[in-house]
Amino acid sequence: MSPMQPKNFQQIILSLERYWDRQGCALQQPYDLEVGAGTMAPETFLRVLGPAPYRVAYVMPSRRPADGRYGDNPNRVQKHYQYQVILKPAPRDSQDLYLKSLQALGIDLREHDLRFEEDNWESPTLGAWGIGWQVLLDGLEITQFTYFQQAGGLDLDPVSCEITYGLERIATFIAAVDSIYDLTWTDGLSYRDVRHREEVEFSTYNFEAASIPMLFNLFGLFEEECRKLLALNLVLPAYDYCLKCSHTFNLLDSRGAISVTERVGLIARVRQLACEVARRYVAGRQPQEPPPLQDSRTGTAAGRAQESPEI
Amino acid sequence: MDRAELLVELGTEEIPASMLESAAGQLAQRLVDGLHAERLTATVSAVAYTPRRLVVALADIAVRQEDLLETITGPPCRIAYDPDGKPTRAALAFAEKNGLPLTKLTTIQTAKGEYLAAIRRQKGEQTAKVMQRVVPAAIAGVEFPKSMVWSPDEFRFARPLRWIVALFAGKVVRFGLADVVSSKFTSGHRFLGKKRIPVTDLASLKASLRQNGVLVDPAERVAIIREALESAAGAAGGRLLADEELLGTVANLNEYPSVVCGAFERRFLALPEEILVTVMKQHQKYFSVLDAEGHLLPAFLAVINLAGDPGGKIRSGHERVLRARFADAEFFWNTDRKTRLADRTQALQSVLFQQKLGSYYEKTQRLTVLLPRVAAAAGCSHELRDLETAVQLLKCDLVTEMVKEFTDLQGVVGGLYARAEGYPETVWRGIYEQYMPKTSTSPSPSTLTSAVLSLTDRLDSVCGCFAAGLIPSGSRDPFAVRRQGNGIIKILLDHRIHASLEQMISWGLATLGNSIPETADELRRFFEARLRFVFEEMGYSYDCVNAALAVGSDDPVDAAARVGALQEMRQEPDFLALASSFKRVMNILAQAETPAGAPDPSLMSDTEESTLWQRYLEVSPGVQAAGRHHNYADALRLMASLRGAVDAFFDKVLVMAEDPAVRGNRLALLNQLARLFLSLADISQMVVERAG
Repeated sequence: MSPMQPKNFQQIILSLERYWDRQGCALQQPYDLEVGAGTMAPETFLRVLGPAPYRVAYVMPSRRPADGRYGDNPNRVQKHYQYQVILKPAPRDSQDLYLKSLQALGIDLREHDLRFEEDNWESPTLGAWGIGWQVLLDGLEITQFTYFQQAGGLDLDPVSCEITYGLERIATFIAAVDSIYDLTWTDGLSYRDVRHREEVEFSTYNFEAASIPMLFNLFGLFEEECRKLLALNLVLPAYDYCLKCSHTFNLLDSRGAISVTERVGLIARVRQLACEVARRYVAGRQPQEPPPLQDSRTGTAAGRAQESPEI
Repeated sequence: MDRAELLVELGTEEIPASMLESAAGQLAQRLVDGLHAERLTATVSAVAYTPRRLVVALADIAVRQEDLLETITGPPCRIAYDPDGKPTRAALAFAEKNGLPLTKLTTIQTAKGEYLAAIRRQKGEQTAKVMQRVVPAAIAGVEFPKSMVWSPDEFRFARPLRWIVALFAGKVVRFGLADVVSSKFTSGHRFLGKKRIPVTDLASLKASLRQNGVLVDPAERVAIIREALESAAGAAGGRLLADEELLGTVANLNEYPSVVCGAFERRFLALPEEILVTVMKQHQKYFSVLDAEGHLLPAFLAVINLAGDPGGKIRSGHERVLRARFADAEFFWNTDRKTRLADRTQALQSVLFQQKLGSYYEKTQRLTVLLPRVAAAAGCSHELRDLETAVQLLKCDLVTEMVKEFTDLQGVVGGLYARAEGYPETVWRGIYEQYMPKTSTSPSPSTLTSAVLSLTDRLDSVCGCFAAGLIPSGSRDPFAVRRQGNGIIKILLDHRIHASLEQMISWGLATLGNSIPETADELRRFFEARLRFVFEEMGYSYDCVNAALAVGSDDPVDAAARVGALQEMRQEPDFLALASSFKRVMNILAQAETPAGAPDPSLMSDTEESTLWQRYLEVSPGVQAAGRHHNYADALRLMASLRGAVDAFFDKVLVMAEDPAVRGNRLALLNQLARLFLSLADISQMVVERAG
């Protein structure tokens, strides 16, 4: 196999899309709401619940308002891009599939120092946690690799494997540049051209301009709407409002409007919504349960790995 | 009988470095225990591990279990046989139940008489079959601080199992666990080795792994890394800043380690070395290099999981990552210093110390009240002004960007900023060293004033947690209160601060507005337990600790002096003899009504009695003086000089004389002696082993 080394930011995305397409993933599009991470998109948070096998991959723009640096810091931004992969159930060769995806990006792992270092992912707002690693490539964290154990406070069966690539990190590694703004997005267009103004304006908004009373007000309204929708058993719309609560909380946090004591309480309120969404999603699943995804190569259920062990 | 080897290798996804040693040790122990329960003995011949495998080999195991002879007791013979000696129904039923003809039954003698018995021989099983039960059970018994499920059977392990090598006498012990079936195939290094390598025993496993890029012995990896680090540091023109903890960690993150030496820009050397070293160690697991004067060189050493880096690609990757980290630190260093520490006190209101105990701002307020008392107890009230300044600034670094990013550097960062702002050394060093000692074996703050600050902070934390009901119990101690308590004891001892724990507890609780007597009682018990812990960690034997603490534990420095003296004296024969006599004295006194006050010499009829009293009067002032100066070894030695007089007294004098006046007088004499002793220690608690 001689993979084409991607030449720029968008070719990295294309390479990953092609690779995970071959692994039988549904290629989804980014969810159209502000989220802090690809995990929060319904294609991960809801799909990992319940027994139905699923494989999906998608780019997710991820907003972390407090990480904004007005476009001045070479590596920190209030919005970055994740490439998110869910393999449900986690196949026996999850790690190998991941390593092959790096080879598909033209990274020769015999010439680089790759390691899996303990890092257990946890999201108190989603009532979710997993066991896994951060993946370091020559000392740079490029991926979070997690076996989900719980989501929405529910034990997961089967366990899903979540692979979250930090696209900017991988791109700076491949291009060997010090600043993400120096990345080439595509010929004649840099990451700076595409994103710098957004970073400056949103940093100003997140830290200085966002209206605190309005945000507190919105948080209450979104929460109320979410509860109302839950009572109507409209689980997916309810989850949208749960996500809106979460992003509103993050904005309030970056405005420094939340005291430590309030913080715990607000996170608990969002978690309650997420847990109730998860409970109702699982309870109401049976009628519209998707058919098991077919593995494109073998034609067997992509789920339980029945094939002979790797060694 | 033939004996053979058991080899078990668990191939896993990367197990966290900190869990490996314990997991491999547990596996070996559980295998040995499991075999033992099956009447099989074994010698552990190898315990090894890498992040991707746990290896245990046991040698010298019998290939077949011993037969098991089992005696089953039946009915008593008087019931089993009729008076004519004919077997009864009871005997026949017992024989039938055990599947034996009557003639094969025997009789046994018990305390209740003669009984019919059956001896059954259970034939020993082939060990290979026993292994099919023992090995999977041993693997399943390994416990981890945190574990996960990944397969439908919900088997738990630190990370997913991917292969299992299980061989007994060279043959596969076949079993399934989680979603893995055991085999004879191991797997090499992820990128340097082959997969599916057949092995037959420990020797072939080790050799195959070595050929396939895996050094399975952790001690070998440590040695290789140590040597490579030292030579790379030398090549960079300096010497290694040794760090055994980090060395142990990186040895457990690699299967085939080598060292890469990188460089960073000189301009970063303008940052404090503490920050540079922490960034390299905590965040990147890099080692630092020092020049001849002990200052940092602009170089770092990274341990990688490959044979080398011929193209220099790995080095430049690590350099780029470190450059970004240092640039962040540099940014924080420059930005943070735009706001003075003193201007950050209000911001502490939004940093929670503990839900029930309020913010760090409130903690600071309490520390301000506590400080003068602790300072007075430590005898440094004359530095109170600087100490008060330090307390005001003590927690201010919690709201700096640097500490938000590098939390391990709290305290250190505050100290560095205070120094940069021109505060006197008492102030900045006090802030810098406030979290020392980190553990009960690491160093205390270097100066008395720093010690006072650390004590004040810890006293508030410990009393606060008790007042808030966060009392450690069993293995539950989420706020690490015990460690804080150990720190208090250690600081008091290291700086020889004669403080009263009782007083310190009352100050701490008063500052918190807590006047509940039970809380103070619990704290008293807590500190006594901490004192015992620290003493035992210092190597004192428990009976010396008991003897010293029985007469008081309020002043830890004084208690330490008494424990130390007892430990020293317990070697001396006179002292041991005296300890036995003292026990006798205490027993006699406990059983009789003892008059208070001194004995009357005119009532002493026996020479030995008067001599003892004379000797008592001679040594008593010296013992008391030595005790006042905490010079307990001298005091105990003086007491030991009474041995002859005491022995003679007990040889010749009858304490419980018939004449009540004489008896009372002798008891009064013993009572004086006991009281003098108890001013030093309760040596009846000493464990005395008499020779002969």
